[in-house]
Amino acid sequence: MREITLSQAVNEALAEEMRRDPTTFIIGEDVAEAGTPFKVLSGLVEEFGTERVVDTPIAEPGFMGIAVGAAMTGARPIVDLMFGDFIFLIMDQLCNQAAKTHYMSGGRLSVPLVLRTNLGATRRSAAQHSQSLHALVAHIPGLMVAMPSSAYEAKGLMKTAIRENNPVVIFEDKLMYNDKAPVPEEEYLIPFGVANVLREGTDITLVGTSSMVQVCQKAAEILAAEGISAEVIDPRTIVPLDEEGLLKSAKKTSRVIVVDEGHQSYGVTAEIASRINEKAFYYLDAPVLRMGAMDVPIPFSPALEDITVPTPEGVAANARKLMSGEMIHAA
Amino acid sequence: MPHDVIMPALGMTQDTGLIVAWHKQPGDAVSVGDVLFEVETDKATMEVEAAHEGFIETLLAGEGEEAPVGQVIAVISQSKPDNPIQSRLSESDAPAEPVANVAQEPVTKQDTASEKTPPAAPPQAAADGRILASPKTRRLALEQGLNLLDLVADGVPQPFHVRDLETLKNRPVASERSRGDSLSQLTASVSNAGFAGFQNWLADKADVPTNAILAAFAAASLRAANHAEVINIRVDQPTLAATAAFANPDLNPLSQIDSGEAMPVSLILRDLTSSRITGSATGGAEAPVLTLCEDGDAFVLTLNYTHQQADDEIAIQLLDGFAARLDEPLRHLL
Repeated sequence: MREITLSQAVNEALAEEMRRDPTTFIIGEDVAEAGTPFKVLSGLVEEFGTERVVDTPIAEPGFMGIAVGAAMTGARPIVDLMFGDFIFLIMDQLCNQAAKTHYMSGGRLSVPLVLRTNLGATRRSAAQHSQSLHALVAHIPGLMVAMPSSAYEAKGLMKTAIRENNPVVIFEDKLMYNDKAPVPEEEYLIPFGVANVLREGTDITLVGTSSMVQVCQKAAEILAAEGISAEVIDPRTIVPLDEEGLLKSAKKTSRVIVVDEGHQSYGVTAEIASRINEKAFYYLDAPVLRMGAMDVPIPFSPALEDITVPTPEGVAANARKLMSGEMIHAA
Repeated sequence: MPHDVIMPALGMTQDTGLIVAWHKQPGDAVSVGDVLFEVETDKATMEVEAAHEGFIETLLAGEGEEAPVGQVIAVISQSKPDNPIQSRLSESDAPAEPVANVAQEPVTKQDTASEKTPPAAPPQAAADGRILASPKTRRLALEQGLNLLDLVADGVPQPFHVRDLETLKNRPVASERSRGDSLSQLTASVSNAGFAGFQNWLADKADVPTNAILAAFAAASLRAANHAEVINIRVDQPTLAATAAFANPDLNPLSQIDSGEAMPVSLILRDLTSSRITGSATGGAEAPVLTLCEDGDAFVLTLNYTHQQADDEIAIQLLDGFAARLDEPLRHLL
């Protein structure tokens, strides 16, 4: 099978869907000629023109509002938010308008909008360009949240998102745009709410989102050399969440670590861990651990930035703790 | 019954523990859950709680000494000891026998990964007497009828995990005497008036020793119960320092009872009527023991037997029959 980069996979998904559905259009900063600073959208304006690949001023609330209005009136916008950190600027449009319009209009209005943005640190982009804020939007009823962990997921989830009639937020990991993965030439979609087991194991389950899936895979390799069999599972979408798939794995291994790049406290890991604690309690031989980014603004200093996010060695160390039955104490 | 306190198994690879401090001294009262001593492990100092109530009878190791896992390091007695002892390991002439403690054996289970993980800091025991165990451990223990208190008693560090249940299952069970070995007991009491009258009546007729009469009654009762062909009775009269054996005494006419020699005994009759002993429960002999005591104007009969020696039904019939004959001896002659 051919291997393409995550960037190319997203590009293909958008191009294919825009060809398929003429109501789709892209809107955001530097999306047209520049193809975004990450070059993901290169070539699209050439194919679809400036009416369907729309450059905007630096005005996030403004173009998000335009997109919500367009979605309510028959279009299918794909909004490009250059850095996930800017989501704070569009929270009202996204969470008060897009998320609630279908409900508050008694079903008369729909908002078939895709917000395409990113997350991920260690790019030396400092505190305001390195955040992973998917927990904020996952918390809002009415929004779906997809988190591709490779080029394969990126294409499949994007196509599903565009065809979805309700607002979807997709977070790509900005560090992964050049990472290659096998992607079929034929069309495929990845359904929301179905987790993917990348590696089967029997001793401990490692749940990872986005690039943390790769961190978990590397941790599983480290652990395998020590005789610990880790299962690696990627939820792919956190809303809707494949509870059944996660519980099945938790019940099999009886130990779970949830790894995510959002901050440690009050994040996605807490939700997943809670559901597992609630519904697989009597199958657990150890507490469900959460691993997120440290509860600090992401530092600019490279040495410091690198230690604020989960690493394979960190995951493996925690896995060993759970295997040995060590008690977790308050910090 | 005194309880041994052993050096607990602290971690998967730890073989000894260093006693940092005793929290109790010889003679002190101990409740379940009281901290007995502190032991230093690879990672931290751990408090070990008492699993039994009582008093410290003996401390067998001193502060600063290292004891192997499983070694008895203290003894807790039920009642306050008169002579509480504090000794040190280095003083004892013979090394104290380590209590067999399966908790320290490497645990084998199909999930071999847990054996290969490096040791971690031993967890703290619960301070308020609760047993700490993972939910899965509790569920499996419940399902399999295992008691987590046994793990506590063995000194396995908490919190307990599923692999500790393997330890629990492999734990040597306190050996019980097999049912065949355990002693059963029946008692009966009858008025001694009937027998006294009978003895007076018989004295006029023939010179028959009392032990022969008792043997005959016993043999008759036993034969009625088990229909054996040969019944030999040995009558012990400890206070008279007399013992005599009778072969089938019930089949030979009363006036012609022979004493046999060196034959297998079906029943031992222990006649304590000429003593002041009014009740007895002794057994453990090669045959059932029927003890005859006198208490005021009643005979107190006790039959002790093992199930290897006699069935309950036979024992009951034997004792009941013998008691009846003592009560109304003339019926025996008919």
